[in-house]
Amino acid sequence: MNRLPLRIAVFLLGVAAAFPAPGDDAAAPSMKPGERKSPEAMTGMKPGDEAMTGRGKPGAEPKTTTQEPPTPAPAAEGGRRPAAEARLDAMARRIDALLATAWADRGIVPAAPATDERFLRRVSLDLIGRIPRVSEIREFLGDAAADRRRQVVERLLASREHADYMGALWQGAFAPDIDGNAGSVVAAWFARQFGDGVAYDRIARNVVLGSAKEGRDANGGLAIDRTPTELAAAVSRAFLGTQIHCAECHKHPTDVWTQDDFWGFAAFFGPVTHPTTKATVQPRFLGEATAVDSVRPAREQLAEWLASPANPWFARATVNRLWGLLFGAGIVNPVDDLGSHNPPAHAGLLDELAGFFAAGGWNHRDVLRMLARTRAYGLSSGDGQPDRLFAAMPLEPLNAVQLYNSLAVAYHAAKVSPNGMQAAGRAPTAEQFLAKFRTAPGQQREYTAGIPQAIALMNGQMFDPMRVVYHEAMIASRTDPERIEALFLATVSRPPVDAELATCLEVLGRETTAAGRRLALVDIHWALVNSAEFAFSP
Amino acid sequence: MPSLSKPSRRDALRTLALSALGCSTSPFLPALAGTLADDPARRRHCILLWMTGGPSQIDTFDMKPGHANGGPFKEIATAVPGLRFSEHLPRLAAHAGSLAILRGLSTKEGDHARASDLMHTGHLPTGPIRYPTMGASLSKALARGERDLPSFVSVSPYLPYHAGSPGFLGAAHAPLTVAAQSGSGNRADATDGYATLTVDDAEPRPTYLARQATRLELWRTLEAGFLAEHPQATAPAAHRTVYERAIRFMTGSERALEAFDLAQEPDALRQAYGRGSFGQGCLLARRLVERGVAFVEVAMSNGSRGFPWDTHNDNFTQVARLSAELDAGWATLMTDLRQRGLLESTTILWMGEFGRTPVITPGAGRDHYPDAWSAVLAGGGIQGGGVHGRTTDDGRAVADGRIEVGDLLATLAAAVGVRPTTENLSEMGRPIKIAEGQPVAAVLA
Repeated sequence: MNRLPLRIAVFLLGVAAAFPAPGDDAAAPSMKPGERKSPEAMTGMKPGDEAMTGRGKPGAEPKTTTQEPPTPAPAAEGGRRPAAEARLDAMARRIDALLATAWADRGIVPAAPATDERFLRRVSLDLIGRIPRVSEIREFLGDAAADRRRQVVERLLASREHADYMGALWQGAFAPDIDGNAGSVVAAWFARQFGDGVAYDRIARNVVLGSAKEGRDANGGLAIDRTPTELAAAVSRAFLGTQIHCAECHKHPTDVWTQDDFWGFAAFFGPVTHPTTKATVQPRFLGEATAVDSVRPAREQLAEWLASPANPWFARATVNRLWGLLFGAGIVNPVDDLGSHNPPAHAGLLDELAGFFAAGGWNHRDVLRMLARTRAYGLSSGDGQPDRLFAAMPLEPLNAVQLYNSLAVAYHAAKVSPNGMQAAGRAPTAEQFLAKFRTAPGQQREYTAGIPQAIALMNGQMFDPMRVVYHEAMIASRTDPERIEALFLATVSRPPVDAELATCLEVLGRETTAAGRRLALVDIHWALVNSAEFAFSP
Repeated sequence: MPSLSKPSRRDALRTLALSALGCSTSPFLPALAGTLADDPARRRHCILLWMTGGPSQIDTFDMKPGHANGGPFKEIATAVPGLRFSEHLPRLAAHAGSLAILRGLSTKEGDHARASDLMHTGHLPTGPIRYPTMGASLSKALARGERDLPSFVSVSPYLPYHAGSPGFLGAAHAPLTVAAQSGSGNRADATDGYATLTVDDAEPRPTYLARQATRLELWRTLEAGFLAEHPQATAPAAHRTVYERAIRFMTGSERALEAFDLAQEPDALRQAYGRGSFGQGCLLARRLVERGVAFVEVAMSNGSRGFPWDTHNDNFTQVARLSAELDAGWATLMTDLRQRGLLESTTILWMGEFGRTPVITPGAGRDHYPDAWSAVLAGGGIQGGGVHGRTTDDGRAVADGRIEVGDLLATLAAAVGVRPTTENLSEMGRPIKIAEGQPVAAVLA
């Protein structure tokens, strides 16, 4: 174990200890009395509950989400104030109106609405990072309530799995380079922030100030083994959606950032010397001509500025990232490259979303639940044509975390061991799986796997295929069509169409022994897990 | 990069160009390397012979006869006058004219895992970037189009170290891994059969092997249905393409997996390579290079169990045995490549995580030593027959021609015709060079 992970652990634990628990007023300025109960109140989990995120145990957990079923929809949700609900609904309608106008202007015909099955698969992958279980699909499809889509979104957002998945995603945004145990500590820290319902402006503040606090600790050394320039790059990318680090060495080739902008921002994170003038740089906010005052600690001022009206980037960058999480692409794409060189697909949309986020107290769940209510989010993928201003949902390859977690669902594995299933001496650990399947930056929408990944999925021994045959969903099935349906639900989250059912029945019908029939069921499952439909979010 | 005094390195190079190398040298021209890389007719390959555990330089390529640190091994003459190897590398000595010995390697990491990262990527695993290994970045640079064989194959890697990690280059540049079955067949002197090399996950478990046809029939139905539903989507079509390649690879109808069938080789040749996993791995490397694979790493390892070259105790018995295995595998590889006209387009790098202490421990062992150690380059793009760098008489320090890991990897890149300064974009959007160092001009052909 090298030094970095330990230091990051120290940094993050330090941050967690240094800031008030979410129940405290100081940590939840966004939550007006009676507006909405915090998630921990809804789920019954206490903020300090170790099981919530695995926090504080470096090495204990991989950075993937755990596999417990989401917490049932909380009764408290019914107590949300009508005004708050109306605000979300109004914004959702506003988005649909903006998009409808833009589509009409460009002669774009939106795709048909997605089926309930595909909606559930998509929203589960987007919000909790895995496909739905057979039981969850059946429960959803059997629910006669008119607002069942809305209810499932609430259930997913309130779950621990949502916080864990957000943790994994934000680790990817803030520290994409950190592997293994150290990465899981970073992910667990973010997961706890999201799980505790800490408002997003506070999360950003905690990141900025937490590293400052450790930096002042002479005995503990720096919070993490990162230079001011590296911290400046990470914070600006993750929280401002800007690529100012390109200006570290030269003026940004296409954007407005200059070397002075970059070094002025880096100066918030420690003393830096300008590479050209050799002068010590005074900290200044992005886009500001003058340095911050020298009376108060610079990092404090940065933390205040982040979510202030003076900063145009923070709200836009965040809603853009959340939009990208649900719609497969940001309004500005890539989601971390905002700037005049890379205009948004719909500027008005981005601005209004940013205003909604700021006015609502920086509540990331409100943005997600509102976006999930739009008609645009409920559209199908159509014929698969990409980039039509969100008039169809792009088919997105599962990211490595989603794939790992979804394989566990498809094989009915109760929980994925960090050491794989140990069926074979060479079964990959979660870390090895992620290392092998992780997509390069900028290629998230392409299918980049090759022969090594394909043969690992086809022939690998991560999971015992016979689990599929002996799972309760299969045992409870009385007929072959029911068994085949269970296999389809477990993998591609929908029942088979007639032609598929006929093919599968034909394959099953060839078998004359019980053992042969078991193997045929495993074959059907194998074909489903290896299909493009499994590998993509609809 | 750790600080490196550039003037002194240039001085060392100048001195070296004048004296140390026994043959003529041509100055390194980046433009030349670039021209080679751009020449589509010239397919280049790289084979990394990785000595897991850290091989003892004093008992192989940097002997110290007459010194207390030298140990009991004797020197032998090689095909190059004045150049001497250990007595346990007699067959390799015959190929000395094609080898360039780098005796001035000096690095800063003595921990197996971290040094393995350092030597494979050129960087310690502490910075803000997940660096790709040279296998990933060079195979990316050298690959030519879509093929049914992956462009990067890693044979018998020590798995826990992710030695083949593609880092920020992503899944598309991950290696195909080949496991070596250990056992009695894993020793050079074994007489009861060859080590077995098996592509990881190349075949389903035996129970399901017989069901392949049914499975593929079902798979094609499902795949076609989804693609037909989304005729305009390109990513799912790429999924089908990759799977069709993988299926061709597995089923052997396009003879891709056949590349891994060493039984097709004459028995005499297999024996010459050595029956162990390293010898058979070298043979496999030749077969893969022959079929266009850009980068093959062959690790001399004990699978996932340990580090054969980590000779903290009983160094001399172990190194003698390991050297015999190395000598057979590597020397036969040289001959085999040369006979097939592949040696001049295939660059070989021999190294481990670090060297071993000059001082012999009470247990007749040698410990980890990154301060002054050796690596060897051979084959394509390499000016063979010479030595670059020199250690002090006691072997404890580099006296001349000091290079760091970046220089070594830059030399490797230049030798295969890839500009070391070729950049890839990291996760953080930062352009990262394939290798940060300065190519050692004197060993480049």
